[in-house]
Amino acid sequence: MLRRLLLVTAAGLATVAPAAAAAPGGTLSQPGYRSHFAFVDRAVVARSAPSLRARAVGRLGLRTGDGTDELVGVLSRRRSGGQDWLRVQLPVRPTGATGWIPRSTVGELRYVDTWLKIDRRRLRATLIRRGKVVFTAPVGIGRTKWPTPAGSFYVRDRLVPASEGGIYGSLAFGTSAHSDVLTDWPGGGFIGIHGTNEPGLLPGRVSHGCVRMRNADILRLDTLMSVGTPVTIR
Amino acid sequence: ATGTPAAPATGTPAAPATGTPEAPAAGTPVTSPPASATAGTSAGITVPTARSFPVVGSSLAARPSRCVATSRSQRVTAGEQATVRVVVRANGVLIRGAAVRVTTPDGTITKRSDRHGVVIFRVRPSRSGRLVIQADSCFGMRTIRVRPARVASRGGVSPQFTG
Repeated sequence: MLRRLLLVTAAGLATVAPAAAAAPGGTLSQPGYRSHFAFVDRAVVARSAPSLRARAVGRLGLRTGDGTDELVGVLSRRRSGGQDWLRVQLPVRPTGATGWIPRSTVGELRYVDTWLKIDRRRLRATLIRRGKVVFTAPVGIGRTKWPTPAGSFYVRDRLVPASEGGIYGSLAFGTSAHSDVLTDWPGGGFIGIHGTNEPGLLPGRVSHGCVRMRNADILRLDTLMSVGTPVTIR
Repeated sequence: ATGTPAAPATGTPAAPATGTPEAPAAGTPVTSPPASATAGTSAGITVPTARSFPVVGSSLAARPSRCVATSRSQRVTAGEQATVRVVVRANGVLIRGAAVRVTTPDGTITKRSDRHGVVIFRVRPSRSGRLVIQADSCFGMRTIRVRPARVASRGGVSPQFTG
């Protein structure tokens, strides 16, 4: 079991490239080319501006509800008040929120060269790597009463369900997106990208807000995409 | 540096230096005595010196090093690059040219301190454990915990996404 877990962990981080120590200043997010993310080292309050006096917009912990290490998508960097600040995407409500945190509260900046786009009108997922489409697949999205939220998010963790025959299929990626409707869902109502045990329903508007794929598609996506990948739902 | 604990050149290794009338003011770098020299004669100061790196875990390396300082907030995580800045200072005097060794879970790196007594190591440990920092200017060692690699993926769990 331990060995399996280690392999799973290694696979999840395999395609993540550590950012150079001299990561560029300013904008740090170029989806599909180079998007940065970082794991949280210290619990921190995100601010609306790069200042300790600015309004709090969210709180970051060290762990996700799934037991993985918390990470944030990094959008830009600025020096203010004698210290470096990062504008990051936050896994908090309202969905798609961003805020500023001190650079010292996160670890090494890493980057990915992938970008997952979900088209709710065409019911398709497209993965872009270094500017080129490398994967596309039909998806199921939320029903009208439980819509999949639109916006810019990131892949937060990767989970292998205990049972392949469950509703999450073979694999599930957690994102930073929340359902705007299911606010009392266990775990906070996070939107996932996962397999399914009902492939016949795809493509369609069939879920509670999550993005469903056929198991073969989610497994292929797993070989191409890692945590930290930006996700755009439109 | 052979890794074998050498007999101290003068007195007991842990004994603090005494009688340093010629010691320059703190912050003034001095050159580390060469391995063959007797400590306390090269720069006109007395520095308790190891002249080699005591074996990690041995009694000579059991105590915290007196001459090696690192940042208290230093964090090292397996799989991530960390920059470890080490300052070598004895009796308040920065030591230039001191050999400093960092033992990581993957191996050892040895560098010499610059004219400010500073050595910068860039390490990327592949697994958790500890970093051991030693200098040939004194006995003892500093340790930094290497935290386990980040966990971004888990198996055998029940996700709670909206489905």
